[in-house]
Amino acid sequence: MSKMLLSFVAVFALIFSFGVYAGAKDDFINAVKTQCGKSDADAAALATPGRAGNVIKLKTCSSATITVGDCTLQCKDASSTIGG
Amino acid sequence: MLKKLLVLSAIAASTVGVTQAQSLEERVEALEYAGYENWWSFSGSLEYRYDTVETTHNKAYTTNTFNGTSVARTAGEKNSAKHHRVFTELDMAATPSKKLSFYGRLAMTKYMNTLNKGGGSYIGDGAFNELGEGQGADNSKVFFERAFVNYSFTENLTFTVGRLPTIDGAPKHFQEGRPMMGQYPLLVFGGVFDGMALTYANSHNGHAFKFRGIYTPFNQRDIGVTHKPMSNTAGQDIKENVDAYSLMAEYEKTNMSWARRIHLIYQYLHFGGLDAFTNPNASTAQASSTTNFNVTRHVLNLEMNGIANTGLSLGFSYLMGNIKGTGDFQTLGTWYGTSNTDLDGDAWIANLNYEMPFQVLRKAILGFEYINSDDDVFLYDTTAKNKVGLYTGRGGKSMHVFWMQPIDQNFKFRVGYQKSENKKTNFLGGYVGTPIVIDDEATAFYSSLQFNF
Repeated sequence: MSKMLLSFVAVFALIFSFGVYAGAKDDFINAVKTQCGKSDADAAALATPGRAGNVIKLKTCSSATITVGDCTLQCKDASSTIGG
Repeated sequence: MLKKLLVLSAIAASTVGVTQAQSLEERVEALEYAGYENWWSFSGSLEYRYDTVETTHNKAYTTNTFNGTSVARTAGEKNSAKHHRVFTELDMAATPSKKLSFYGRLAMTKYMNTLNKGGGSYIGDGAFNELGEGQGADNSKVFFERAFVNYSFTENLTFTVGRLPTIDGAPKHFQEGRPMMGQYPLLVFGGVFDGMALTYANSHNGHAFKFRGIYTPFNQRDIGVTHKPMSNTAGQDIKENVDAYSLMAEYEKTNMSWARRIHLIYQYLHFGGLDAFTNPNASTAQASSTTNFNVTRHVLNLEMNGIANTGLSLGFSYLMGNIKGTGDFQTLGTWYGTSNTDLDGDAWIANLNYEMPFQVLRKAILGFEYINSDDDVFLYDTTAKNKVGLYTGRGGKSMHVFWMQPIDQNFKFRVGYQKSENKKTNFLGGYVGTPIVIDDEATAFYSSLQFNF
């Protein structure tokens, strides 16, 4: 029983993680397209991964804006808005 | 060992579909994000701030504090003080599902090492202390400055409930070089409100709209006797809940030819029947209150960023306010007067930020802020970091100039100068009883080290 539970937890965690990943990257691409008028391909090219990548840079930024390439993005603090 | 093998097998089997559709690079990328993004995430900031403040009273006057202490000012009186303070914020967020998110902030603000308190005490359980807990300088106590959940019924409709992010709203973020730090524009009300809200968000052709209704009931009860309402000295029951409600509309557009972004907020706020003074446990004289306070406000807040493709940002916030006071407190009068009052009072704040274009300056910001207010305006900023009453002066003009220098991604240094004027007050605590014409001026130089993590 415990083995089944462990398997379930592991699979669930992995699937959930993929889901969150897609959200962060999609949010970044949408922001670049909307705020800088970039194409899908150009926005995806700017969505660099990793701890020092642009996606995490936007998600964790504490300044008013960040600049990625020639695109300046407005940072948002979801904890400071009502309703997201 | 067997358990590990089983888990690994299960993971491999269950993700065959996913892995087949993804390249190795995408899988590695996904795993990296999996490490960074869990249900819970934490961030925070710590600020050390040093202010030197000089206050000048150009006219003589005498007032009383709410605890009965008389304060007499002589014409030409000058006072100066220095303040070392620490501000900390520990932010947490949890997103257990796409529908539900939780945001919390543990905050502490204090003077450094106040080993001699001069016989005084911190505001502790004062009537309005809840509106500034965590941000008003106190001792080392940690407060939940905000703690709320968003639950999305649909993609467009979100319900929010909890201790809401209503303080430090626009335009305070201009001077901090941060994204907007609170939902209510500062001129609406600078206090932490608990409550609930319903937000409808949508966008069309790059035009983003939000409409929001917010209900934040104020409680007024003897917290030691919770089974019945309090009574005032006229024998009337005090309403246990004062309905404070607000309506908001937001508009945002980015990537325009003349500016990078424009953001507009309109907010209406109203509450009536607040009796802040009745205290059945106080002595007869102190308990003598039948006052009611009614507030109505309309605020328009406009922000434009990246004007003409430069680092120029402008902000303008306008308050059209009205207050009504009835009843009497200790035979001194009511809110803003000696008898029933019905007063209009407006105020506005203009902001200009210029982000330096030179890379060597790391996006340093030169900022200027100007505040103008009517004599009878009601302004409230319980979480002010400034020590000059920059946003709460009545009938005066105030200004603020600063330089914000990022050292790196996590460390900012700021220096600034502030000057405020205050031309009017009321005899009791600044809010109740005989109106008094004054001429106070306060100036401050400050420096601030801010670390984000």
